[in-house]
Amino acid sequence: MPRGLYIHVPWCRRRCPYCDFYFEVGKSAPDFADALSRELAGRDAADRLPFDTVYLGGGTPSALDEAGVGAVFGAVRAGAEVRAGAEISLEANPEDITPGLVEAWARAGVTRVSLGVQSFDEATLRRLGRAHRGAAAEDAVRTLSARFAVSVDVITGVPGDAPARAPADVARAVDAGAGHISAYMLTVEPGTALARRVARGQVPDVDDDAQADAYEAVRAACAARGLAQYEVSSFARPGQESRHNRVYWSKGAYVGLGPAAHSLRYTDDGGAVRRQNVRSWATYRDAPDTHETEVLGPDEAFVEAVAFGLRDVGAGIDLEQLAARHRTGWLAPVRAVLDGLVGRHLTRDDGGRYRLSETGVLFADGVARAVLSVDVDH
Amino acid sequence: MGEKNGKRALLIVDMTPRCVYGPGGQEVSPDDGAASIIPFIQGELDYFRVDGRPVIFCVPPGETVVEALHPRVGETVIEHPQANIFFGTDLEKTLRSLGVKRVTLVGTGAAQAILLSAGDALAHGFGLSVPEPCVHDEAAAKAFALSLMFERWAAEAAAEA
Repeated sequence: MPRGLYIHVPWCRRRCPYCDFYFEVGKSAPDFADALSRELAGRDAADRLPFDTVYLGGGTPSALDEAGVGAVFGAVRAGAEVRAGAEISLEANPEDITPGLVEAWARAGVTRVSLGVQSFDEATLRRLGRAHRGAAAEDAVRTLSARFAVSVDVITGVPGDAPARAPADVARAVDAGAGHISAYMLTVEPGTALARRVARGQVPDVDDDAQADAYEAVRAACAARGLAQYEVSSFARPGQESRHNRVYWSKGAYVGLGPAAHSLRYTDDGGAVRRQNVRSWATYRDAPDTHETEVLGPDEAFVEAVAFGLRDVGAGIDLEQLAARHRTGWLAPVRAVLDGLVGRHLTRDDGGRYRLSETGVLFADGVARAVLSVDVDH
Repeated sequence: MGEKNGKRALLIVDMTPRCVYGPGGQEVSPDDGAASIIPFIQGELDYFRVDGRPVIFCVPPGETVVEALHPRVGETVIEHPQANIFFGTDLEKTLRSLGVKRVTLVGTGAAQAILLSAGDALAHGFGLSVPEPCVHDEAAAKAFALSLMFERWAAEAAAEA
């Protein structure tokens, strides 16, 4: 089972009006890599085993300057083993791309860049409060795809969008060299600037039907350009799927470093321990081991693995294999739930490997809830 | 189907212990019968609540909503004396007062309460969504009701637009 390492870089140059992730506005702190080193040194030996994937997310990892990039990867390689051939990904904003930074990423061993384009359309970018221009983002995709595998984030359902906007963005991204598209539906998260503007009537609310239509259009645009859907929101050319994200969906073990990062590891009895680091840079800098943990028993861990695993529409889940991994007695009731969903055309049973159906992909959250609410008393 | 870009309300129909679990109201396995739609309705409920959109529970007189979907303080519960939730209730007035243009119908009785109420919602000029995993009935009856709503009524609504 592959193991992933995630590093949360909690800085952004500015606040996007729709974002509710943990981040701090401003320049990255020079002692970030040092704090990562101290956290890694304090983690159990089991958390420092060889990693098959490394992922820098945020926040905005491209807010790290060239020296910062070197320092972070230096800390990782000094404190943990990264396997040869590992996928090393990094999230970046188009406006941050400079030749020097691209060189620094290449020297650090980065293999894949996930670019937060959201759209190439100027009107949409203005509505989203993004800092880049469409043409510059297209140039960034071209520049990066000469050196790395490139994924482009495309956002759907922005109020005021023309129906053709999102599929046109997919086409521009792929034509510029992207081999992977992550398509996200815009949600109006409570507490964001966008939510306040919607509440004041300054911006129309997200239209559900427009969202659904845009999602279908993105799926069709990806298929037309040879990108297969392998997860609810993810599309890739063969071989360009995100190995790191597949660690999450398969509930493989992963270690998260940095403020607000999550980790998951398995225990010998088939259960799991989930850890979340403190959501504050200031606290983390002083005490990087500050975290909360949650212990899952084997049965809970099994049910979660099934619910998350179904998000991988390409791989699906091998139910019996997961049950064996977790040493659970809940195989029969979970199978009954999945078979019930097969009967409702929401999942498929391909010889013991369950996958979401076409309809099931649209109701993936409901399918996950159905699995998570399994009742073993009946 | 119907008007887009309008304020939307979620109408949860007949998700009471008697309607979901049978006359005794005893819980059965959640993957059986009408209980199997609860996780999908929970998803809709979360979505509407997060966005601060109206949620209205419609129940037969004297009945309460199942625990898993329990109304929050401030959410409206309407008792409907007939299968059609608009008939003999203040539902239309309530929706108009909230500025609702479009309703999402979920719950039990796809071929009766949902079907009749969907027809009346359209007749009252509301846009309509009926997410298939969120409604329940005997399989053939549900298929008939959905085909009527999705194929014939949607086609008519499109032709009128």
